[in-house]
Amino acid sequence: MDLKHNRVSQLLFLGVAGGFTSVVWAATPPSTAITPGPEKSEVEVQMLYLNKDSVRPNRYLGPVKEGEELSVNIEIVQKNEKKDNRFTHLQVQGAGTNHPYLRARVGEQGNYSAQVEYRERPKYQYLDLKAPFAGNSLLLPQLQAGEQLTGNTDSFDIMHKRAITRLSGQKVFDPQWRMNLVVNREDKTGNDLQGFGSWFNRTGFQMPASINQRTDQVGVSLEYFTPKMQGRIGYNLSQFRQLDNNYFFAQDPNSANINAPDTKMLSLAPENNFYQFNGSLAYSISNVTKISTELDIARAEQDDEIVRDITFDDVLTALSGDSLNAKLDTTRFGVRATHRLSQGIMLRANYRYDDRNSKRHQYNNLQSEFGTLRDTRSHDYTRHTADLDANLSLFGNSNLLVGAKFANIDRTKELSDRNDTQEATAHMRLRSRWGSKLSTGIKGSYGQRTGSTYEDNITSNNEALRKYHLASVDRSQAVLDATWSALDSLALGIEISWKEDDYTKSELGLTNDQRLATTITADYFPSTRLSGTFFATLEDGTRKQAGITEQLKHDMTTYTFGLSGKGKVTADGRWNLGSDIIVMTSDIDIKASSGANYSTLKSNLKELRLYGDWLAKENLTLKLAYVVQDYKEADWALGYGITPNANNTSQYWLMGAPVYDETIQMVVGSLAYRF
Amino acid sequence: MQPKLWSKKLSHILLASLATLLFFSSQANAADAKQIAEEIEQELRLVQPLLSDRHEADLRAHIGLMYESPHAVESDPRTPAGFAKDGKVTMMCFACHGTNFEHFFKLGEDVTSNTVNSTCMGCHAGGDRMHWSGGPHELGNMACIDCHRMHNKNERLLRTTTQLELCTSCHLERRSDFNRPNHHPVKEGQLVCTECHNPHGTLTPTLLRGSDVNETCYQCHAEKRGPFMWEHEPVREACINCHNPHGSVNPAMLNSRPAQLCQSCHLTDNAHPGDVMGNSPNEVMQVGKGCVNCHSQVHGSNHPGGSFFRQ
Repeated sequence: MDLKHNRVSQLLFLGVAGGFTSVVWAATPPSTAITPGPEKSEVEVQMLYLNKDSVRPNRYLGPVKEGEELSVNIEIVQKNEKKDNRFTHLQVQGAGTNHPYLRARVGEQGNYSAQVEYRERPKYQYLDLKAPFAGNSLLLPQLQAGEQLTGNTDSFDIMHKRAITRLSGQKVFDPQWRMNLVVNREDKTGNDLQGFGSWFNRTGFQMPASINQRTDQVGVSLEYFTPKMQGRIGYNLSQFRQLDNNYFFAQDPNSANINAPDTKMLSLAPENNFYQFNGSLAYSISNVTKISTELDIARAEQDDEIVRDITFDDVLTALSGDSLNAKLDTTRFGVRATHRLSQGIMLRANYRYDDRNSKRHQYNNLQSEFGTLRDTRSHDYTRHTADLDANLSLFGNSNLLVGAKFANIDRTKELSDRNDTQEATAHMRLRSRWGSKLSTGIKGSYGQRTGSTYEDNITSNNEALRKYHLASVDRSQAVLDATWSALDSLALGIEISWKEDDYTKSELGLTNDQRLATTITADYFPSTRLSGTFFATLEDGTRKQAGITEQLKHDMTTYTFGLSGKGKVTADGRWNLGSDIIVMTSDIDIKASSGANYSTLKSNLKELRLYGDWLAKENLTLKLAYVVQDYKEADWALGYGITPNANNTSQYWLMGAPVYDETIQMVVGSLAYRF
Repeated sequence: MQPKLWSKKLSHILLASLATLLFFSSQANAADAKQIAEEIEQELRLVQPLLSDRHEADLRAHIGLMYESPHAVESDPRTPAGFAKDGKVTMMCFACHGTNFEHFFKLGEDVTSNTVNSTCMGCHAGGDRMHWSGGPHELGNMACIDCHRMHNKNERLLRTTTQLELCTSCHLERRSDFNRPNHHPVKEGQLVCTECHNPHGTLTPTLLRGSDVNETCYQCHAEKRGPFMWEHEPVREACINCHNPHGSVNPAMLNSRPAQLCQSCHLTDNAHPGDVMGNSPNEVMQVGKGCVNCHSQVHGSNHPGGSFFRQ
């Protein structure tokens, strides 16, 4: 279950790297803090063997092909803290694999730190899907007389890889001022499973669309700190680029003349730029009154060249110029004040302003030309949110929070009768500590959103489209939780959460969404040599949907169970063993009032991990792990391949995404040597 | 169409250069155990009169860990064990434990959450902690030491080895979410909770790092940012209208199966998309990727013919 990031996860999940973050400016900023723990120099050589091709267990890291994989990990930590608190930290993980990670960090605590990181992060979805395209293109093969397309297919792996290079650092100018800098480049390459089709003609095809894109990000911030006041200003930049064209061509396997096929011109995500200025300030007016505020001003702009597909000449004519030249400005401002009336009573008030404002004259061109037929549906709004809470300390070390929240959202481009939604929510939470052994919590909220209602006499798909975020809804939520130290060595936990979104003021669309989940946990430490953890979650969800002539009920039941234990075989901890078990089953039942026969969607995951390590010498550790995973997924939606007309899929060429029913085994061994 | 895999070549180059570095670094790694022990003894002698009943071995280990943490860097005058520029020793243990060792940070016994937090915030109120006051974890009566151990060995001095383990000790359901068939790679160690959330407090809902849900997601999924010629409103409103970012049994971490999810909004009595379901589960709008078989650009399209997100 890997919750403990124990020895097996170090063995099997080579990507684990404490300091790495994927997001850029929003992530935990870099720090000048010296690397904790003792100095060390360690090299580890690891061998992994996978017994069959599978993307399930190693989807995010690999390997996914049968066979062995050799990798090397290195970690060096050096400190000079007695003299001038300098440090260096070098970390290499997964060298030799397709998911290597390198991190080199140097610094002087309290003065500066600088870090360079490089990581490759794959994500595998499917192996060896079939499509009637030739080689690494989306061109159909030339057929000889008597040949069929279905007999001329190629194999494609659906996966992508992110290659990320990052420089980051922090400079402390004096105890009050410091600056953070992050520069990040990410190249993403691979294939995505895309489709193109016409439902009206019942024709179409899936294809492995190429991914070749780059995102550059820069974030710089300046922070100020005193015990009374803290502030931060920052500037962030993000640029998204396609490294090839922003379009591609694909030949249609449904073409009447397959040796002179129709060619479709398809688009990729347009390039965009994003600029953001932000500032934060927190100030203690007194020991009991504090105020904090935040301002974000940002612009996203997109002036990528419009895809010149002459099939849509009418739209191209209406769009003057070569690019959309669209700008989306956002302004967000938040302020929070807290005041402690007495030792036992604290008040909190929040206000938040959130505005999105599109500037795109091309939209007006389209609307004047086509009206709502091709309304580009830009999504602008102004949202005001305010909430007021009181936090009361009660007898018996209990803590009661009660409050209310109000929101008004004005959407400027919506149809006239549903511009606005208003939300009002009352909430409470009671947390109690009953001595040192037991703590409990009760949380509840009830809210109403008043927006639009939808009646079943609609006739036009475009005009009266049901929209989640505009529909009137009653929203209820309750959570009960408790943790109990039943023994000095045993901690038990339970959490029961329930929520309901009730849309029954509308007669169409999603009318009700309920979810009840119960989780129990146990952590057991009978001795310093033995520990175990356990969790189980039972989740029940029901979604009800209403159509004009049909009703739908969507039931989902998921059970997840995890058990792990580990222990020291020898009292000195030189020999350790452990195991993890995970079991997950999920049933999804879809029942339509028309009686359409949807078989139950069943997913079953069973996994066992055994692992151990042995400190053979003071500077030599041997590790060994074994994993077996059984995964089954009964899904009426999957398993359809390149044979059109099968199973009523009409002339749609699917690529054969598999129905999983497989058992894989993996063995990992490593040898770590410390210098 | 396959991505170029540079990793192996790069890894070999890295390996060769790092092996050289490793050799030289190992020469400087011989810690002077005797000197450290003497220093610990000195610390013990300093506190021993006040702590005569405490277990001496535990205290030695405790001080030893402290000296390997960022809180006890002698040449950094900001730390409790640091020396000021004039050479005078700073507060040492008293900085946190009180001048008479009033508390040993046993929550509910010798210290309250407020006292703990005030002690820590005396030095750490800036940066990510700026909006701690009034945040949900503060109002939940949490203390810094609920998550951090000041004398621990891992980065950020977490109480546990990983963030996932730490956060799921209270947010119990997340234990299961990240074991669902479709999840963000948190348990694989590729992402951590604090990449999307700032547990110390923000002015955004659910402690998000970004200024809203979508801005948080766009940090890694910049291609979804647009603006597009043809926008899909629920996408623009919030990614979580359709996705559960923690994990799901549905593909692509969707809140429901693809066709049924789409038909929460898209339904009329016209032939397409039809009423709440098609006539057969084997129809092209149900199998494969469901509606996305044709409407692949469901996050937005910049193609002149993309008004229905088909290209």
